[in-house]
Amino acid sequence: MSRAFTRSRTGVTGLAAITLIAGFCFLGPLLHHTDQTQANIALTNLAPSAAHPLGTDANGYDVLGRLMAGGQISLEVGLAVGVLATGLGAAWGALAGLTGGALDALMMRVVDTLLALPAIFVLIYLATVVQPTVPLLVAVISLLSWLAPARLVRSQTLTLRTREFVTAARAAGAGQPRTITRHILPNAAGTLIVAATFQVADAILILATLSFLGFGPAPPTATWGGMLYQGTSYLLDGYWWEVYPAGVMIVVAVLALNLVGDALRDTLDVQAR
Amino acid sequence: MTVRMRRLTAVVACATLVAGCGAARGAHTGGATQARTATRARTATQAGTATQARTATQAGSAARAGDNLTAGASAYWAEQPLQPPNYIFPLISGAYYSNENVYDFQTLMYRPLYWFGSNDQPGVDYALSLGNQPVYSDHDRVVTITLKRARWSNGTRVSARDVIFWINLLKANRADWASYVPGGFPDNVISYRATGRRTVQLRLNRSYNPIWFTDNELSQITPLPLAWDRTSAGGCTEAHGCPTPTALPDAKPAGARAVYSFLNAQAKDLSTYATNPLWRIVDGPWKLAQLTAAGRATFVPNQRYDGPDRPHLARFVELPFTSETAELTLLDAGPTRGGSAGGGGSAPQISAGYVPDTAVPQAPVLRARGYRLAAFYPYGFDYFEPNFNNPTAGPIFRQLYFRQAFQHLVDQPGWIHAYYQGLGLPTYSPVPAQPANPYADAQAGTNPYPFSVAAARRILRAHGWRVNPPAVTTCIHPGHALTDCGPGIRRGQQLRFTLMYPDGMSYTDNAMVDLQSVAREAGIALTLEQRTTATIDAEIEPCKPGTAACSWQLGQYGAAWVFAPDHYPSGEEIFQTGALGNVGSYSSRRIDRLIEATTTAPANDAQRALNAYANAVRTQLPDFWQPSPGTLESFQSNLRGTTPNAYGYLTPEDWYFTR
Repeated sequence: MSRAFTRSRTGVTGLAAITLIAGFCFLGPLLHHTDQTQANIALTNLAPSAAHPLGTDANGYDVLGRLMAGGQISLEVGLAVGVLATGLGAAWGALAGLTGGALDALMMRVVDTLLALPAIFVLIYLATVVQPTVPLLVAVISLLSWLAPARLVRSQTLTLRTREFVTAARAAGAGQPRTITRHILPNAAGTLIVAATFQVADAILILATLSFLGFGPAPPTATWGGMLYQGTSYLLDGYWWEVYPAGVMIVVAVLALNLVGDALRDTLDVQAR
Repeated sequence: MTVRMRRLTAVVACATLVAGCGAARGAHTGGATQARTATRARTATQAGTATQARTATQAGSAARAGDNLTAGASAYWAEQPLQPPNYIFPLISGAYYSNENVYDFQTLMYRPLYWFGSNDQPGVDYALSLGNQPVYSDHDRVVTITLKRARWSNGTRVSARDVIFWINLLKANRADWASYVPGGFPDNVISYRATGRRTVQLRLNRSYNPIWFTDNELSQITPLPLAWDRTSAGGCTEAHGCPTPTALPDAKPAGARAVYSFLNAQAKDLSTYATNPLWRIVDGPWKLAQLTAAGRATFVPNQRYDGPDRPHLARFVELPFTSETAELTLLDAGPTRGGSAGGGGSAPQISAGYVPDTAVPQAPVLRARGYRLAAFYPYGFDYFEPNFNNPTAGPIFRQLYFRQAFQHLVDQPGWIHAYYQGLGLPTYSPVPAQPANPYADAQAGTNPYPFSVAAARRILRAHGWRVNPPAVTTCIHPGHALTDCGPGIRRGQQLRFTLMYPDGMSYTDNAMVDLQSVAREAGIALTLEQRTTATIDAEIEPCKPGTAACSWQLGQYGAAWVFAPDHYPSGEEIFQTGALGNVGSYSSRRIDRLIEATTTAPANDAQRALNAYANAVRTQLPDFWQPSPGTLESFQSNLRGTTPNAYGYLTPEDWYFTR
């Protein structure tokens, strides 16, 4: 599999970009020390200089340092949502697919109903009634993001449950939990990994969208979307450093994750090959 | 910087049923009769009020002799985004009350009895008023109003009966009047009658400060044409207008209610504003020629207007916008030199607009486009509120030393420079020193609590708190002594608060982030909560201790308090115990007494009473002062007469283009 992946030029490029971004966000602060909690009224909207390579924003925060801090939140939220949403979706889809019958129908109607809800409106509504925090955002985005993996895994399960090794396991007395965890999910791993990759990208994008709309984590927490939101107010004033770096980071991170996801799907999907 | 005005009526509009408000006014109406030794008639001017008489030729905004006026020109004025006018009847309810409906729309056509603001100077302007200076007699219990000679556009004279018509409608429909406060006007009027064709006499339920009564109570009156005194449109035609009915139903409460009901229903039909014979009867300088569904309002001069400030323009157009960016884009296109002679159908342009606050650095570009930019500051002040009834933070907020320490953390000059783009005025008093006005004393311009983190720390340490940032400051000496934390504060209690403020305004966002940051230096942990404006309005309200509504701790409206239509800067609506505008539930008997004195003092003692009140509130800090934002207004360089009204009334009748 790894050889197949490395043959994908776009996949490798995406992986390299993600690695670079992660290094930039988590190792960068060790080299470029900034205070991202204390505003400085004397340093507002400064153009890039040696002291502030990407200038400062309207609160006097160093933009380069803020990109790193914002990236940490984005990647943490993305990874957490990717794991939680994919895990929940996998469990739900596998249970529905393996059980079948009325329970399957009921569980999938729940999925259909939730899919019909426009997620962004739900998130914005919640953000207006409670102050978003990072854990809360992870929980809510996850609860709105597990639906696609659930459908994918269910369809995979419908195929797998008729296979001999599943039939044999059940004939040998394996219960549903064991069948799911030992036989279904390992064989759906390819689908899950690809889904999780896309979930990470989607979560980063949702977080950026919410922050851009002013519904992100409260100050002084930095997010790329929040930086973009604040910076667009000053775009016409020529403060480009408050807008473009955050925008570029969002685009590159999401694009890279999608490239990795595509490459993984191509690698793991034998039929497609 | 775009000013979000929080006018008095906006506060009281939706809450006239709240009992606390009645309590507030009850303090005035139920007070002991003032001992007076002589009955004397007194006019506000004689008493030394803020009167600024003006004639058209004296007025700074009137066309000057020698100006080469462009005849037949149209001026285009930018409305605030998504806020077109949508209610024409001057007796407006809280649901429709807005700057856009009242100050930018109705007053162009229907003049209030008294006009406030002489250009950018606060105070009543009798030269522009329909009424002469009111005369107070019988220990300030009787008010006599004499109307000037003015006429409606249908040819009838503006009469005392038109004033009575307004008061009749108000008395019968007081809950539908946005500015109604129980105990206030017209409740404080025992009787009223027309004593002559142009004279109205009001008998009050007690003596009042004549300046206050004129500025805050008579200011609410708008004479209405008797042709509106009807319960149906029968007899009105587009060709022949709307005659005055022979029987006037407003004289009885039931009839007055029916009249209001009819006029209110008519006012909800926006599509007929320009054609309805009722609304075409105006006494202001303008008539509405067109109102589109999008909110584009076109006015033409009222040819029968006989006031001192007749329009110079052929047409005045209010342009709707969907966003500040859209307004800025059109502004950036530049104006047509000399104004547009083409009328409403010409290419869009802005003769008078505003520069969105984040675009202020583009001022040089806009000047190069042909605009003259001018900062405008309405008469008011800005602040954020502590909730004295919050179960955990309330006991801390009730300590004057804490409020003093916290006020030391507000860097007003720094905010104005860094976040308000220089467009802000520092606030140190409830009777602000700026813009220049006749109410403030010398103290109003000095800051008793200048920005100093060290001072804040020192005050907290002196009152039993362990201040060791970045650790959160903690009470280590609970108790009632002067050096203790104070009653209701327990050992180990920390200075942690939530601060709620509206999203979408960059200068508020930035200022609150700075406050959070500075407070941290004094060990005060602020959790910032951004909310929509609707949520803010709903949540930051007076509350009873122990109720869920009292969960908010510090609240910022993102809107300044502007003294209109209650123009006298007394504090009965915002700082008196139980007042609706007193959303933090501040309560002080001393301040209550001082406020009452401002509304009841005889005119010759009014300024002393106002000073005493202002200086007490200035140092007692029932709220935390912050800079008042201004607006950077843009005017086509050859558009003159544009000095803004101190209270925000739109006065295009003063505008003219020069060649």
